[in-house]
Order: sequence, then C-alpha cells, then structure tokens
Amino acid sequence: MEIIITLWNEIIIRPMLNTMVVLYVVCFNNMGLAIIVFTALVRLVTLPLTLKQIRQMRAMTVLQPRMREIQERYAGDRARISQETMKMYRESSVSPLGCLGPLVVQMPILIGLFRVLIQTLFTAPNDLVGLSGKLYSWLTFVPIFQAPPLNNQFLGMNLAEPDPTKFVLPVLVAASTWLQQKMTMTPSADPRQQSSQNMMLWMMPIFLGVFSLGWPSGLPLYWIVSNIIGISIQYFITGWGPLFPLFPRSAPAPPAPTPPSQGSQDNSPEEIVGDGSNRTNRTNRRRSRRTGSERTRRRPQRGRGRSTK
Amino acid sequence: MTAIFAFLASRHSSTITINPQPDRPRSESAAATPLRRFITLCAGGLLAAFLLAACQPNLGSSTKGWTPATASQGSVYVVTQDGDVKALADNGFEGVRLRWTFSAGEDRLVGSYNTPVAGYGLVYVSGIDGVLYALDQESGTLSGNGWAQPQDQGSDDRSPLVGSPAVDETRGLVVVGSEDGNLYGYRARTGERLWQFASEDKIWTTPVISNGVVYIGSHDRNVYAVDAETGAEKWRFTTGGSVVAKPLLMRDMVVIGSFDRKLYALDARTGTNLWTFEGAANWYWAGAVASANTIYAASMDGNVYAVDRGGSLLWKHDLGDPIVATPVLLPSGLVVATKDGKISLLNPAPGEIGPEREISSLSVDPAEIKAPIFSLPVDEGALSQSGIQDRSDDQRESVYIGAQDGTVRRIQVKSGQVLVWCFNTEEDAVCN
Repeated sequence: MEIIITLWNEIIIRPMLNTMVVLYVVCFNNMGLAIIVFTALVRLVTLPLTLKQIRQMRAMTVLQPRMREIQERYAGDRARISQETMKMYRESSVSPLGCLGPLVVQMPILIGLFRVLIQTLFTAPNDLVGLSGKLYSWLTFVPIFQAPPLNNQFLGMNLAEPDPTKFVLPVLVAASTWLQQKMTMTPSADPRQQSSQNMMLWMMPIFLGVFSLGWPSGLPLYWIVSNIIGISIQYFITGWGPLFPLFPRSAPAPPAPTPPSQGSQDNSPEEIVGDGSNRTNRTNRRRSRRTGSERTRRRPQRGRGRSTK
Repeated sequence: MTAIFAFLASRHSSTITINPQPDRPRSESAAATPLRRFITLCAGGLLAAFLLAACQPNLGSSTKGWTPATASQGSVYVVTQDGDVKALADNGFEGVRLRWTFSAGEDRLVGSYNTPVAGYGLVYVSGIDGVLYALDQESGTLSGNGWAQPQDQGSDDRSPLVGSPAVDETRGLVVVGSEDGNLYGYRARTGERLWQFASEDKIWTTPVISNGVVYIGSHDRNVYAVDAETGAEKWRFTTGGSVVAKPLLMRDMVVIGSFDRKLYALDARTGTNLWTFEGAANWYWAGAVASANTIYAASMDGNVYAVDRGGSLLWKHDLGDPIVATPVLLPSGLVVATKDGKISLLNPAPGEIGPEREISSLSVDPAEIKAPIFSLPVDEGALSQSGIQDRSDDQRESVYIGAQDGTVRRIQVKSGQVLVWCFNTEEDAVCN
C-alpha cells in the first residue's frame, strides 16, 4: 500500500503540484490565474484522450440505429444480440471500451488535480508544512520555495473559502456541468437507458452545485474552467449536439463502411445529433422504408422473440 | 468528469449481456462482458473515491493543532487538540497529574501551534480565535488576575494568533503577532493595549524582546525591529521569502531563517546584513539556537546546520525528515525532533564526526512533532563550547515535547534519553 501511495505522490501529485506553484509564480503570484492556466494545460495534455473518447462516443451514436435493429430482429435471444452487436462493433472498428479507456486514464489526473488544488490553496501552518515536502528542491529556475504561502485572493474571493455569495459559483458549476453533459449525451434506443441518462443530466449538476457550496472557491473555479474547455472541445468536434437539435451540424460519416442491408439509411444527421426523444418517429420512418420482403423476413423472428420471453 | 457520468449512465442498461446458456460455447461478446464490467466497476470505484475525496473533511484547511507545551515552577501548560488549555503537575519520575483545564468554548482554541508562556503568575496563550488569553496559573481561569484581550474589539471574525506571545518582564509587556499583519503590545498584568505595529502580511513568528526592541518576522518577507515602548519601527530587512522562524538574538546579532532557504545574520541595532548562509535545500521553519560561538539551525530539508559566528559551516547532520519544531540546546547536547516523531540528541562538537553525531534517539512515531521543544532556560555560561557539561538539575536537563496525537512527554536528556512521563491530554491519562 505504501508503494502505491509513494507512486501516486511521485507520479501524479508532485509533478502537478510543482507545476501549479511554477504557474503561480509565472502568473504574477495570482492563484486564480494559475488555476485557470493549469486547468487549461491539463485539458491540453489530456486532449488526445478526450478526442478519442468523443470519437468513440460519436461512433457509438452512429451505430445506435443498427443496434436497435439488431435488438428488434433478435428480440428475446440475448446471446444472439450480444454476438451480433459485437460483430457490428468489430466491423465498424468501434470498441465499446474505447469510450471508457480514455476516461479511466484521465481519472487519476483529475483526482490528482483536485488534490493538488486542495494542497496549494490552504495556508494554515499544518497545510504549509505538508506543502514544503512536495516541492522540488532541484527546480531552481523558478523561485517556488519563495512563493508560499500562496496568495489565494482572486476577483475579490478567497479561493480557500467557499463562495461568499453562496450562489454565483454553485450556479455556474451546475450550469456548465449541465451544458457539457447535455452535449455529450448519446441517443439511446432503450427507454430505461434514456431515463437514466436524463436523470443523470439533472442529478449531476444539482449534486455538484450543492457540493460546491461548501468547497473552497478554487475548486468550483477549476470545475467551471474545465467544463468550459470541455464544452468548447465538444463543440468543435460534434457541434452543439443534443443541445440545439434544431440546428444540427452536418453529421460525420460512420467510422467504417457498413453493409447496405444493415440500414445505412439510418445514419442520418437527425439521428446522430438527436437525443433519442424522437425515437418512435424515426423507427416508424425506418420501418416505412423497408421493403416488403424485409418485413416478411423479420416478422416471424419478432414473433418468436416475444414468445420466448 | 461529466462525460464519465454520462458514459456510465449510458452503459447502465447495456444491451450486451452474458450468454445465459452455459451449455453453449461462450460467444466472443459474452467473453468480453466480464472485462467490460470489471473496467466499469473500476471506473465506478475511482469515481466513488473521487467523490469521497471531495467530501472528506480535509477538503478544508487543516485545523489540527500541534499540542504545544511549556513548563514553569513544577507545572506544565499545554494547549490540547481539543482546544483546551491544561495544567499538569510535574512530579518528575513520580508521575504527572492534571491540575486544571480551561476551555474557551466553541472549540475556539482548536488548532494551536505555539507554546504558551508563563509569567507574572499568568499563562499567556495565543488564541487561534484571535484572542490573547492570560490565565491565572493557580486556578486556570480568567478571573482574578486573568484577562483575555481580543485583537479587534468590534469584530467576531478575528485573525488567528499563530506565534507564541513574548513577555518582557523588565517593561511589564507582552507582545504577540497576528495573522492580520499586526504586532500587538499589551500591558502584561492587565491586558491593556499599549500599541500596535502593522507589517504588510501575516505574522506567524514568535517575537523576541531584548534591550527594548522587539524582533519579528512576517509573511511579507521582512524582519522587523520594533521599539518595545512605542511600537515604532526601528529597522527592517527584506529576505527572499516569508519569515516564520523565531529570531535568535546572539548578543548584537539577530539570526533568522527564511522560506528562501537562507539563514541571515543581521546587526541587531541597524538591521544590516552581516552574513548569509545558503546551504539549506528547504525552508527554515524552526528557530535557530546557539551556544557561545555556534549557531544551530534546523531546516525542513531534514538537516541541522552548525555555523560559526561568521556564517561558515562547521558541520551538518541529516536526520532524514523535515524539522519543524524549534530545537533546544542542553548541556547534554542538541535535542532535535523531526516531523515523523523522532527525537534525537546530537553531539554539538565541531567538525564532521559522521553518524557518531547522533548520541541517542527516541521515537513517538506515528505521532508527528511540530510544536517547538521546550526546556527550562539554561545559563549561557553553563554551556561549554562543545555544549557538554555535567549538571545535576534534573528539570533543567529535561525537554517537554507535545506531539500531534495529543500526548505530552517529559524526556530527561543526559548521556541518553529517558522518558520521565507521558500524558495523553485527550484522555487525561498517563501514557507510555
């Protein structure tokens, strides 16, 4: 366990903490600016992972109609659904873990950043004693040892204290979280999945907003900046997405060519940017496009699926 | 982070399932499912850890005090982790017992860092609540001779007093620095405020008073000399970092370390820089101590540096962990405590003698030691150049050390270290 703690401190915490203090010195001894620049740097470093994650989620979105089709075709045969779904992923060069991988990699960085902010914002004697041991003594080109205790005043706020208004920062945290989450939502064929997404869409911002009421102001500041950068990245990759479904950007091509028989018409812009709320209409439209032979072929399968439930 | 929640929500009711029929060969998709679930669980665990980290109490500033202790006339005074001031009757090897407890109420003294000071039949305690308390030594109350003086009468939101007060018995003065940047001078017997001196940032330093001058350091990187009668500034010297270490007055020289990792010697009358020692790799938090011709400065790089009056290094000894507690120099040697709870007795003899420097050591690990070590004053003449003499006064050969686990120890230091007693201030019981 001690080895893990040492690794955690040496690989994540100390490099980030020293970077933070260097930025503080470079940013004219302004902690607020240092947090903003630091957050931007972390987002920049993790940008490849973020892009990969967004692309994977996009690809998953594009495949939703085909997934629905598989579900309908093999309803009741869960093993077959799994098999066909994985086959579809493989053919489309999409990994369902591709969305999660980058997130898992980013987690230590995000947690580390959170901890670093906590360790640098506070200036009580006990906090400072803890900080001194984490500074690099070999880092001599920037006077980091002379910098502490760090001045944590920014825009009239003490970044080590909760927002004195009890309103501005929590609301900004909640709003920016909602915006980013709304933009990253994927349309779902499953009503349960859709409802859980909708629940998260509202619960997360509310939770974070309430949490941030008691957080030192530096943490909501980091959160807001991080969300704004996340929203910007998301916009440049996918546009406003489900945020403004009336003005969708042109849809990207699916990640790999798909057989025409498996519903290539379904990869329409409306479905890629949609949030799933018009799922019934899309399904009806798709059904109406099917040929009679397709209907004939699929009817018995659906029927068999129902009977086995 | 938001994306993580969104993703987890989207995977909540995944359509990919484990093959429900065990007699069939497991499909590729089914084989992949446990891995995916495992990774999802890991991500969920990390997420939970993150939220726990966000909710845990240390999200705020640490309020854990250092259990500072001082001794006077057979009593030991300590500010506990709970924010109480306790007086212990020190009976040497016969033991220790609780005499009285003072509580300021509402955890007002929780998080005290520096030692109380005894004088005029009172015990002066710097309150983290911004109030200087003078408790009656006999009763432990504010009644009788006791008093409490807030730095600002009109406000409840006062800045903490971090450094210890200093008492000038020739002038009947007690001075204390505050996080509001002011140095306050009070009449020692009554608490009447005589003057205040404003620095440009927080003051954590314990002041030193000599010949009518108060010497103090500040977060504003300056060392100040202030007139003890009027509170007027006599001189200031600017270092490269914050100054929190207690100044050392060595005849006509003020020696003080700074966060710029340098040890400065200043002319006590003019503030002129006499020399600067630049050997340390981390801050000076602990105050320096001195024998007749040698200065011993402990740094947070874990080293004790011995320099002569000209600022030349005589020796250094690495104790391996940051030193926050101000050491003491006894006839038996130099007593230094590292943050990790190791108390070492060092031979102050000049010259490099390697590991032989450490005469003995005693550990209170896992408790951390940060509060200044206290010992009863030793006559300067009693310390030889090597610092080692044979004395018989038991109490003057003892140190009092408070640890962050709420314990206070008296340790007798002669040729080695002997634990005289240990008292747990949280349980009001003797400990080992």
